[in-house]
Amino acid sequence: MTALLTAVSRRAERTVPGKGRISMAERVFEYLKRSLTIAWKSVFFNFRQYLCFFMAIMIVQVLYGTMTVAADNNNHVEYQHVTEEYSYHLIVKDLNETQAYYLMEEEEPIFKSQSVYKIMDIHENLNYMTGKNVYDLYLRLENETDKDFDPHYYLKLFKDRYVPTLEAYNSGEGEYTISTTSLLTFEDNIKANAVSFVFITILLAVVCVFLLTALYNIRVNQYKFTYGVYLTFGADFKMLFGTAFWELFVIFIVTFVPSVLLSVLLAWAVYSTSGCGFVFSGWAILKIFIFSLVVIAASVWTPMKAMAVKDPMDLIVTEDNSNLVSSPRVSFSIFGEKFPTRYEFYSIWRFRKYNIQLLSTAIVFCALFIMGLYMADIFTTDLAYPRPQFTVDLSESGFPYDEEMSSELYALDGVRAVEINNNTTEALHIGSHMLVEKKHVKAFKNLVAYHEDTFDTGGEPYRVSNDVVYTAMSEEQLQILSDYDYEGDLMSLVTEPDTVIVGESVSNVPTYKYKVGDTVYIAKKTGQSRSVDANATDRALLNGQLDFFEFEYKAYKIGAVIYDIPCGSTPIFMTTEDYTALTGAKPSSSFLSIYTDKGLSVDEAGVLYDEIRDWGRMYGSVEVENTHRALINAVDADRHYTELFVVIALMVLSISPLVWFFSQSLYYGKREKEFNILQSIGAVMKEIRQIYLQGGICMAAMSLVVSVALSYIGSYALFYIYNVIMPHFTGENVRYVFYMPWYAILTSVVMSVACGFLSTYLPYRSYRKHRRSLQNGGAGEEFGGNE
Amino acid sequence: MAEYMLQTESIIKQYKQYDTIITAVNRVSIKVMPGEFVAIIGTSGSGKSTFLHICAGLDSADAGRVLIRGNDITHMKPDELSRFRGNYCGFVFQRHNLIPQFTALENILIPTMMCQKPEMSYQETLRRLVETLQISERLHHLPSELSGGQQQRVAIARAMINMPDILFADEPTGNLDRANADEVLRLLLKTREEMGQTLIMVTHDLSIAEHADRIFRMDNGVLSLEKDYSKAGRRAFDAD
Repeated sequence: MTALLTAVSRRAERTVPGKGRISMAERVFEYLKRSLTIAWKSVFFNFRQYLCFFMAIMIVQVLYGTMTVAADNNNHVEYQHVTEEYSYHLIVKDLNETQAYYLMEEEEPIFKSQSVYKIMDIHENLNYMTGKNVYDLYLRLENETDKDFDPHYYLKLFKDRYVPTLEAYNSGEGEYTISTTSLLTFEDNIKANAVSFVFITILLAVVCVFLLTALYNIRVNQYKFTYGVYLTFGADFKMLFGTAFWELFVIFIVTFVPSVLLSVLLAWAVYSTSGCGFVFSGWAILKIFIFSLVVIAASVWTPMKAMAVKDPMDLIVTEDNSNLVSSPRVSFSIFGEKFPTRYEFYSIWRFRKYNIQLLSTAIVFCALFIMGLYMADIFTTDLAYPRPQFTVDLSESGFPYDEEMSSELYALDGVRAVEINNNTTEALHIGSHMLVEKKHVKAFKNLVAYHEDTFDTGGEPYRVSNDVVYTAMSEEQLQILSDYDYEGDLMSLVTEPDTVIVGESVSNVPTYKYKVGDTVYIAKKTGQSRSVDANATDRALLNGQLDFFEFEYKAYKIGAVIYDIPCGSTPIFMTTEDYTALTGAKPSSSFLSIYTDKGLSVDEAGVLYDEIRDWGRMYGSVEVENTHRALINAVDADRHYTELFVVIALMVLSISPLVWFFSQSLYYGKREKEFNILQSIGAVMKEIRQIYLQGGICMAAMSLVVSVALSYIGSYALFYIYNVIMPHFTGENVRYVFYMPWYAILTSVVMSVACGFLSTYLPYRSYRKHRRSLQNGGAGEEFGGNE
Repeated sequence: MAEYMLQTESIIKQYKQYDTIITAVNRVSIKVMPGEFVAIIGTSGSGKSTFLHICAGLDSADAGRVLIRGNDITHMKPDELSRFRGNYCGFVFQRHNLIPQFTALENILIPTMMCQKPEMSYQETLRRLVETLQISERLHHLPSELSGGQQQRVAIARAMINMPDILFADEPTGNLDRANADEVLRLLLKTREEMGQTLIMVTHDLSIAEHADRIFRMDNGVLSLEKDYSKAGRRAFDAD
């Protein structure tokens, strides 16, 4: 090894004229020393100029640091919860006596190395249908001799080794089942979390690179002249990039330790209340270091590359700010106009390129802040969203879900609602559709216009949609709908003939504006002249069906409208009779979702699980699955995503003033010369002050409009992603309400308006100071220099 | 006293560099008649630009007085001085100092926004200036889209639009080549002649100074009369 290093070292040696032979390591050391020394001096001699970068780089590090520490703590929280609730990986349920004894005997093989599981608990139950006892065995997969224990491998081993025998011992009086617990899937979740974290890291890197690039671009734009001079005298991209990188590196090194400490403090503040303890690993420090390094390198790459490819003269001619001016090729009629109001309005217009760039850059962070708070709200909604704790499959038992079963289940302590899952039919699958009057469709909803003659529209425009799902409802099931925000009488479905209950959305987005008492027409396919193209989907499929199918329309009165029901297709609830008449099939009722009371603990959910399984045994082969929702909710609650996103949103918001003040101070610094010229040709100080003031008012007004507009666009994009796009991937329709959190909008608007105004007006103080120093005998450099 | 357009009395301007005090302008007194063209020549660093800035009220003197049309500008308040400058003085800088976001026309008209003289016919003045300075084709262009000579002609038009009584020019052709410099100077003098203003010009180019009524030399902050051939000089220029 030493020989190899020596050889490499010798190969790396180079001869430098006048210096003899020096090694590669020495060259690197010399380069680093020289670069860092120059960067250090540059940064600290111009500290005020770099102050903004100190703050920005610190925010970048704290942002990522908090996320990194939070990610570690999230895994820790999940581990704590899972290990607290489950000491076993598997539950082998409903074993007969032979099977149970077999597994008990096999628990301890002769050789310890062959051990696969340990029985943690045994429950003995009575199967009411057979009158025999059945057994549940709670197994922990383990092998003390295996240092690299992988539960998935041992699960496979278990199935390979023991399942054939268990199958052989089946008595034909009901099947045993194997279900896994969160202890087994925990490792998978950690892997999934790691993938999510990589995604978040990339997202944060993009935001951080955007921030630093924006700041560096502001700097570069104001100092183009200087870069032009550098390029004239031989600087290339490597040099420009090196200079910029090492300057930011120095700032990064100085801010690193405080940033890490602040990150840990913030994460601790968020997680200290979870009761799961707080973890912090050294890897987090390394991750923050690498992330920041990559971000600062990427941030200066683009601006420097853009500079390096420009002709030096293009940069040198921008000494007078002209690079920020948009050429109008037409003059305003300023002849005798009132000064300075018009003057500054025209200036704002001519500097529109700069102003738009500034507004969009600064306010994008306000919009991100609002989006962050909206994300926090989405997590809160998601956490409170009702999901079933158990699923029940009655199909093997041969018993349909009926009122007696319903009363038995509702009698169990903790059961809040029992929902039938397979009592629905999608309209397009049975060639059906819904007809509504155009006036009942919201604006900009592009539904197919009805143009056939089967249905007499009476000359009124109608719209047609097959993005509809029909659901059969019993009186008992109607109770579940009362959880939603609705208008009308839910019971009218069973008390009044030809009545339906409708949702008003498609893909969670409000689409219809019908009211109680309005009529919808539902088409039932009665025949077809030819088949529709098998590959047709969406509108093409609907148009094909309208063209070639024959329909019979039935009018239904709307008895109630549900506003916030989660949905992909528009739900239409109807009686079992209407449903059967329309679909030609009786609704199934063999798959149930059981929702439990809010706040039910994991232990209580476990007890309820046993009770429901006990209930299921009365009907023979009833499969009950625990979705572990209570545990998942407990873990999610302790992950504090809501608080985390609020912290991150606030950090992102703090970037906005940086951009404002940094950009405006440079911009107005360069405009000081212009104001001196104006004073030389007659402007008084009050008028110059008015220029700043009016600039500030204009920027504040524009900030107000842009911040609200950008925030709206950003929040709606999130709303759309979560409500419309995500369900396609997750298969779960969670209804998120679109709204602009007023407190966030207010904060954002106040911040933008204040920054827009102050960052414009405050440089006036600096101008006045400079001006006074000139009047007190300073050199008149701005007038062309002194002799 | 009121018969002089510009009168300075023992102007002193000093700068402190480390422990050394540099006297840029040393007890300079000068009297300029209305309509007169005075050139101040001297080497770089002799103090001529500083003196011109003080005369125009763009810089303050450590001692002495400056009177324009009999008004003591050295004791004016800053805003009062600004307004006075806007009404009675024009200034042409060595570097054009045009405002980058405004077109040539807008730059020319900026003084009319600030100090409008009701009795003046600005439209006519503008037309004459634009024609004389030959910039009518470039009025709607930004300064960055103009050549150096064109920029300087726009700067001259801006200095002239308010018909100032006195025009200060600080090496107005210093950044231009010979041909452009001659052209700009010719146009400047022609415009001045048409409008009858007093012109105080700082230059280090003797051939330009030769057009003046009187030539002063600034040497180490001290001003001395170099030549006084006012009538002869004017005749020579007319002959050209």
